[in-house]
Amino acid sequence: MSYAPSTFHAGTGEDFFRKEGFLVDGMAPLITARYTIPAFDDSDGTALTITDSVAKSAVGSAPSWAGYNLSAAKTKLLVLAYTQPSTSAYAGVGVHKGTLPGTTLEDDYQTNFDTAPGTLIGKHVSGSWTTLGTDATIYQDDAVTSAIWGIALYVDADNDIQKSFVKSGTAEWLQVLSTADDSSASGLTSFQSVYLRHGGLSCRFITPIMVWGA
Amino acid sequence: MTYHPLAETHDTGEAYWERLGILGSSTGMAPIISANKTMPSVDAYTNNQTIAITDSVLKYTLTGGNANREFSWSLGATYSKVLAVSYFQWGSTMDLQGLAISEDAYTGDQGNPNYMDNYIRFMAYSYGNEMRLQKRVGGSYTTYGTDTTIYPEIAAYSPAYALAVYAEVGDPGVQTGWIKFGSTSQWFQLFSGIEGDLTTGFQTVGVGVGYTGGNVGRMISPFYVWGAA
Repeated sequence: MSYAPSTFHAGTGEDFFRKEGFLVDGMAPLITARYTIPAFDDSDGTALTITDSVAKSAVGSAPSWAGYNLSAAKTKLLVLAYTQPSTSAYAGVGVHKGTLPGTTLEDDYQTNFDTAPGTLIGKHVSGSWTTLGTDATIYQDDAVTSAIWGIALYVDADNDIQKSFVKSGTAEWLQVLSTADDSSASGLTSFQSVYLRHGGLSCRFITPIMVWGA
Repeated sequence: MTYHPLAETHDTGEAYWERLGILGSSTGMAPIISANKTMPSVDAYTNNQTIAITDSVLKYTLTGGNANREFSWSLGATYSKVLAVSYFQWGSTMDLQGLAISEDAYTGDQGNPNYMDNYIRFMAYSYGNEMRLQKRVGGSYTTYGTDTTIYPEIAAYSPAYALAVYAEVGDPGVQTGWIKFGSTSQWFQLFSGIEGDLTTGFQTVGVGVGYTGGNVGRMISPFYVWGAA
């Protein structure tokens, strides 16, 4: 087959994120799942089962994640995935300070589509959750009939930047939230793992799933 | 402007099917229908509907009372394996939109109601609030699988979505269904089966469009069919 750069970028947003200045300064691909989702390094809660391009959760309802450890700690990361939540009240992506914790999330930034506040950015510090920003004017509904959306999280710990992007339909990615949590004060100065966040209930994650870091 | 032909291979899933080993030179699969821009005229149909093609869209309107409707395209030969892909939009259609691969050949007005038989069909089945993979053999329906955790919303404002169905003859055979809607995400599989009732080869790709008189729906390009003898 021929290489399809325009197609690839359309799905991953690479062209958009490069032009917007997020894929610069040494940001290199760390995970590039275009066709098949790689096996997770660790998970907690309701399990995701991978079939080629999709990871589907079992029916049980539970705060859940599944993720990948990175080869080294990164101060800047861009993580994106596509989701179809079925009836899961939330679905999104996050970056974790240390390697994956095995049980509940400890220290991280996260963005997700949440039923109640809408699209959000939040953090865990020592396991305690704080919502940093929400936007109820645009989010993916937690419905069986909900169309598939893309969601992305960009963090730059050196400059206290956390941004959330979404993609619906074949339009371009769009920024929804930008927060400025003090990463040093939160103890979130670098990240060694990334994860997919969901609440079980047949939630799906679909490729492309991409991670860039520096 | 720059031409981006490969954006279309993403819509048709061609790169994805090649990665899965369903398409590609080693498979013998070759294009039979390649409707990128304009939907092709149907070869057979039930007569209780009107079918209007305007460039990339085939719009059907169910006329008369309640009954199942279908329309189909002849593949022009017999194939041992077939992959069919197309996009749909519910409009006001109730009941179902399904893409089928049949062993039988059909031409022209097939009367009323549904005529296709000996097929594997992957469909959005609003009557059951589910996605469904089923077969019809000798006039009898059998469901391979249902999934109530995901299906396109039935509404005039619902985004277009895509169905893909793959069938191989044999016992065991292969039957697989994928969907895609709402974004530039990848195709993803919902069902895969190994039922063995279809063994003689496929001659038709068709669409079942449900039941309730007056309803309207659309089938939209790209509409692609690949097959191997």
